[in-house]
Amino acid sequence: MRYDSVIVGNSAAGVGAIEAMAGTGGNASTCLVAEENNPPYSRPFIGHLVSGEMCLEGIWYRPRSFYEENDVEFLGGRKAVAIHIESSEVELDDGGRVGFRSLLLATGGSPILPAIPGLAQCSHTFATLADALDIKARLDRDEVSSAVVLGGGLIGTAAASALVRRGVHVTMVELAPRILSSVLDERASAIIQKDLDERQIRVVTGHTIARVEGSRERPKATLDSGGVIDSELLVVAIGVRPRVELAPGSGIQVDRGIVVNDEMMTNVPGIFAAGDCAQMRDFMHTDNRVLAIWPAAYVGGMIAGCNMAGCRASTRWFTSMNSMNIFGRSVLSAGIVNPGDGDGWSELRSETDGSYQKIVTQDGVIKGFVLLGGDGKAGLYLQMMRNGTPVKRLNSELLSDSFGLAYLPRRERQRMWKEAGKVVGP
Amino acid sequence: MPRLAVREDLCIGCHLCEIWCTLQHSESKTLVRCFNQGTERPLPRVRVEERKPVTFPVQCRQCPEPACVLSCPSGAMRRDADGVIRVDTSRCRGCWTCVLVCPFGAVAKGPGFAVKCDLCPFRGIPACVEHCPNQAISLEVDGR
Repeated sequence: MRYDSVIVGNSAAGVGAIEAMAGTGGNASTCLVAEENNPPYSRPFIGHLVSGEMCLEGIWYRPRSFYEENDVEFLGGRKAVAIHIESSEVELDDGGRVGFRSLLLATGGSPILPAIPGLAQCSHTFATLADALDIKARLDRDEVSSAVVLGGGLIGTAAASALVRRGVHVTMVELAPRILSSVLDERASAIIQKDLDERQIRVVTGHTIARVEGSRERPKATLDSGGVIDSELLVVAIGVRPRVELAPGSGIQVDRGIVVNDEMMTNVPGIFAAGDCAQMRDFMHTDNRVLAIWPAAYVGGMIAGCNMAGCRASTRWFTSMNSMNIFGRSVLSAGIVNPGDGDGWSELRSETDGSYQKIVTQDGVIKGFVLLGGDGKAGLYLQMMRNGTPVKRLNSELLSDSFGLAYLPRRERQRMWKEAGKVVGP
Repeated sequence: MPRLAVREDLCIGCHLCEIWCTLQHSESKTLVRCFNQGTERPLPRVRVEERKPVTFPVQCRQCPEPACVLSCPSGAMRRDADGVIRVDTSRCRGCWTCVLVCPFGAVAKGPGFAVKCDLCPFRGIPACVEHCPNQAISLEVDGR
C-alpha cells in the first residue's frame, strides 16, 4: 500500500502530526505503524498506573477511536525494520512494505540497560505500558515487599514514588553524587532527596550495581561497594536513548539522535523525525540536542505534520524543561540550572520554608531556573529566556511574589501579549 | 474564538475581578462563606498584576497555539468546541507541565489539578467582565 504520509511510532509526536494534518483540512491518506498495539497513552504517567492512582482507562492520551476518527490506517503490533529511500517505502517485520510520500520517524527512545552482569535477565525496565502492567501485576499478587531502583533521575524517581505508594521498601541507587542531577541544582536535589528519605525511600548515591544474581523474581544485587541487596524487584530506570536504528544505511543523518532542522526535517527531503528519537534545535544552545520531553515531542510532531501536509512550519520553541509533582511538591526546571564557566553568569536564589527558587542568568538574560513550590511564574521566565528579555534592572524583583508581566517594560510586555501565544515560527 | 480583552489603562487595581471569579467558581457562591469564613475559597482564575502605577488583570489568553494544550501529557488540557481552553479535572494528573509552559502564568496549581479561566461557561458574560467597575475587561469573539 502507498500513503501520502506514514508515521512510525504511536506516542506524542505521532499524535501531534496526525492532529496537525487533520487541522490543515486536507484529505491525505495516512498510515501509522506501531509496535505497541494500543491507543496512544500518557507515558509519563505509567507510574500512576503502578501506584494505583490511575486505572488503565485513565492512561489513554487520546480516545480509543482516535485513529479511526482521523482516518488513519493503524498498523498496531507491527515493527518497521528498514527504510528504503529509493522506493520511498518502509519495510515491516512481516516482510510487507508501506510506501510514503512523506515519512515521520517518531520511534521514541529505548531504555538504557548498562552492561552489568546479570542485569538484563533479572530486571524490569520502566518505559512502556507493558513494563508498568508487568510490575503492577506482580504487586497485585503480593510478590514484592522490597525493590531496588537503579537510576535516580526523572524515571527512577517516578518508579520509586510509585512503588513506595504501594508499601514497597525501596532502595534507589544512583551513580552520580546526587539524584536528579541532570535537571536540578545541588540544593534542589538535596531537598528532593530529603522528601524521599521522609517517605522511607533509601537513596544510595555515588554507587552503582556491579552484578546481579538470582532471577527477575528474586534479584540479588551486589553494589560496587560490596554491599548486597536482596529484593523481589529490580527496576532499571537510567534513562532512554534515541531509537535511531531505522536510519543507519538509509542515508538519514544520525548523531546522538536523528538530526532535524527547525522544520523537523532530516537531511533527506520528505523524511521527518520528532520526539525522543530526534536531535533538534535547543534555543538555549548553539548545538542540536536530544530533548526527550513530552512537550517537544508533541510540538515537533505537530510541526512535522504541518510540513507533511504541505503547509510550511518551523519552530524555535524547544529547550530542556521538566515538570514533576513529587509527593505533592511541584518541581519545575528549564534551561541551564547551574551557572556555566566564564564571566557574566550569576544566580538569584530565594529559599523559604517549603519553597526553593533559583534563576540562572548570563549577561543579564535568564538562562534557566529551578522552582520548587511557589506559584506559577515558570512559564513567564521561560518566555523571557526565549525572548532574551533583559533582566539586569529587575534582578532583585525577579523572585518576589508579586513579579509578573507588570514588571516588564511596556514594549516588552506588548511583545509578550502579541507573540507569546505562538509556538510556530521564529 | 472567544477570549477576554484587557485594557491596562482602564484597570484601577481594585482586585474585584479576583473576588468575583472566586465567588463564581465556588459551590455556595456566597461571599461570607468564601471570604469571611474562608470555608470554601477556590483559587481565582484571574490575577491582578501590580507595579504601580501599572495594574492589569491576567487570565488565560486562549492562545492560538496554546502551549498548555500542546504540552499536556494527559490530554486533560484541551480546546473545547466553543474555542475555549479548559481542563478536564478528572483527567488532569497535576504534573504542572501547563504551569511550566504558559507564558502568561495563567494556569494555577489547584488541589491536584490545574486551574485556569474557563470563561464562565454557565453564565452569558464572565463574572470578571460583568463586575469590573471600570470596564477594563471585555469579552471578545473573533477579535471583536
